[in-house]
Amino acid sequence: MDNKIILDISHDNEFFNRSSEMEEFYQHAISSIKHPYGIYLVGGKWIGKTELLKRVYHKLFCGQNNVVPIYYEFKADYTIEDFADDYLRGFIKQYFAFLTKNPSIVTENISLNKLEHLLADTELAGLSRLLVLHREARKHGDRMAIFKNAIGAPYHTIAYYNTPIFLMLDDFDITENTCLADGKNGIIKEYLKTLLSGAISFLITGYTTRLFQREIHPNSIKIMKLSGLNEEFSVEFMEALSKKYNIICDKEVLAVAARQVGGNPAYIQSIMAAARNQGRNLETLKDLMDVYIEELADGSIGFSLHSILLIKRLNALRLLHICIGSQNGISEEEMIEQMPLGNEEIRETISGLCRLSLLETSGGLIKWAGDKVTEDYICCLYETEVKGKSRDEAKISIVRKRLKEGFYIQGVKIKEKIKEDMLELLKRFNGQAVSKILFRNQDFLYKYSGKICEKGSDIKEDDKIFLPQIIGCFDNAKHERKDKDISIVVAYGFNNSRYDDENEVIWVAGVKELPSAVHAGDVESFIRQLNIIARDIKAAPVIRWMIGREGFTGEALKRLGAEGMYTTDATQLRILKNLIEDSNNTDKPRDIRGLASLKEFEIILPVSAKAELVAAKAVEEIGRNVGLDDDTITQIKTALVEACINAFEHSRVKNGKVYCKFIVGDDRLSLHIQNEGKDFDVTLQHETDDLVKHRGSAKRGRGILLMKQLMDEVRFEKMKGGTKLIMVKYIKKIVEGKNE
Amino acid sequence: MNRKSTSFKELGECVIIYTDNYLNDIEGEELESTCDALLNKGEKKVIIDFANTELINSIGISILIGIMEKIKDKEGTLFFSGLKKANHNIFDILGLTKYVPIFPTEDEAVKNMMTNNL
Repeated sequence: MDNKIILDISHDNEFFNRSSEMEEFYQHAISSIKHPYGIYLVGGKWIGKTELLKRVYHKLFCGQNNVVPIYYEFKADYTIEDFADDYLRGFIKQYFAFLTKNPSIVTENISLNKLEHLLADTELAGLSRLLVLHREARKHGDRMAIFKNAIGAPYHTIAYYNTPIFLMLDDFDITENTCLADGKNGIIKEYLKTLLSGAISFLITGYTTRLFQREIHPNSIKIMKLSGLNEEFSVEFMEALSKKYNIICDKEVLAVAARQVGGNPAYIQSIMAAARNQGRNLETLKDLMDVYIEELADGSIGFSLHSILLIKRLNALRLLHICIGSQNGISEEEMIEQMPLGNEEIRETISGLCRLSLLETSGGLIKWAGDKVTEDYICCLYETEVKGKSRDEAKISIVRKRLKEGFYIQGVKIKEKIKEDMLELLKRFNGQAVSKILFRNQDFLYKYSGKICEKGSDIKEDDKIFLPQIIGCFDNAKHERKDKDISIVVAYGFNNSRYDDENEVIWVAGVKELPSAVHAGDVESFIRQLNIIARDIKAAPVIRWMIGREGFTGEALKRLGAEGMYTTDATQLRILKNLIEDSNNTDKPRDIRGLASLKEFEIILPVSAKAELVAAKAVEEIGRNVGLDDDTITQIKTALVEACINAFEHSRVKNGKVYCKFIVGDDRLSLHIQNEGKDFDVTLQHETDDLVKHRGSAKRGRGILLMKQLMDEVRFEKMKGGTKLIMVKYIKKIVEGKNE
Repeated sequence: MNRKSTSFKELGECVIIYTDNYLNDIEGEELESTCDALLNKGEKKVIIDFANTELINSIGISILIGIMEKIKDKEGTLFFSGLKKANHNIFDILGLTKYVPIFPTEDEAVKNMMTNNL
């Protein structure tokens, strides 16, 4: 019996992500025998409430024998007599079916008279009494007796047979718009009183909580909200449907669709079915919007909305349009000013629209309460009916709006993703040596534009940069201006595996993920935000890095270059991620205990001729001690000599000194050279390798190029009272090179 | 100022100049003076041998470039020899190897200079 469908439910593949609610309701039904209580499940149109109730019913019918499940769906156009007939018949059929374990009775069309006959020969003959009472009440035309007898049926039955019942009343708040709401006495009030008597557990559904807020104390019932499927499940659902319908889809486009329809499973099914019927794939935003607008204007979504809303009055459309346009709601006084209607008529219209769950009133404000799809439907209707535009014109207006929104959503989604990726990537910085070109967009484009670059091995560059070991990073949302497109990520770390002031470093990354290149305005915005951040982090040097998903404009690159900032686009970032991933997979785990083997040597040089040779001699000894070959030692010595003579030249202090510190780590030799004067000459006069042609230039100027070429990392740091130059030679790399 | 002159050796039409352990501004200027004197004497085939040179700095390189230009102006020929691998690399980085032929040893440089008809 488990597989037999009792009430009409959709295919299992089309029922997504409601298992937790199913389980909760099922447990609610079977565990509340002793202490019955009610749940009110509130959710928008076609969000899946009915499907959920029917499935709970099925599970209770097939999965246990203790609680009798009863499902009833309210209809809008029934009289009290119709309702009583229908309700009583449904109740008795389902009760009888459950106890006899004969599900076919539930769906069988059996008249009340026939039911009476059927029950006569069974042990449920007591139920016949309900039918007799009903017949008598109808005969006398006593509407209240008819109603009370019907809604009291489960309560009388439980008293008679002592078998627990679980009531599931679907679309309960529709009663507000039916004959049940007639009269000020409020039949509904009577109904609610019966439900809340505490004799039976129940689960009822509706669009809004308004009914309960007004008629009963909200604390007397548990109110649960059923939202649309989340984005992940919506996309999964659409992918399943696209396979079934043979539609080619882009996942990002499906994600936009999911947001547009708020994860509403019925809308999702309609759009996918419409794509199939129109023979369209959903590969681009435009594909999606084309399918959507047709479905909204002339498809099943439009038809369904038309059927339940039935808005004919132009003033109702005008009123709705005003509310849609007002983001925070509008007061009744403002509405009266804007609408050419009498106060009473406006109140009546608002009240009617609230009953349709299109508007809600709270805090003295009238607000739009519908979903986005209904909003589009109303806007489309407003454009044609009120403004007299053609249908096509109205459709274009909706498509334009939603295309722009979809485009923005795509950008924001990617933004969230890349920002998260950046946080993850920075956390994995751990002293790796990576090509510097990955941080220089202009050079990268010049050398690799048009080439397929995915892996680190695709980049053949000797010029390396050593990443710091990042100890923590965070998304710096507090400094981001909401109207700007640059997200900030701040990472704290240390260079050279040295946890001291000198090696502390902060990387600040500005990320632009929207689908447009970083322009000069973005750079200015980033710089402004950096200035704010810098106030908090005065101590450590800051490495500034801009990441543009779609690259950079020429002007932006020029400005970033002048500021000495790193620049990386999506391709460079992908390669960087791969490189770091590879290094994490292949490198031995970094042993922080390696710090114990660090050795430091310090030399203070006077500013005098050939003093640099003293430093060179010292570093030669150190190099031999750590097993470097002669050529590498000469390279380091040459770079050091250049650094020293540069420091001498720019030392302004009389009898000035140059401080050299050599730090030997497990995998690198770091040279720190600091003077007591003005900045080092960091200008690289000739970027070309043919410096012979530049004979006319000053004799100096080649030194920086030599240092950069001979060492793995060269950087300058401004210090109080001078400048520090740090050069690193990666020992591991040399050993590997030798082995090769 | 009493300056130590750079050593050199004349071998037929060739002249071989030997640089010191460290080619910096001072040593470079001495090398340049020696070259000037030899060029003025009419020498046109010059070999600079770096076999004794451990370190070269960028000022020394600048002076070498000056020497290269002077020899070129005199329509002479300049060869380098005996460069250590690291120094050869430096000459490469700074573009000198494009303009001056480099030989592993002094002998090879001389042999090639003798057969060079340029």
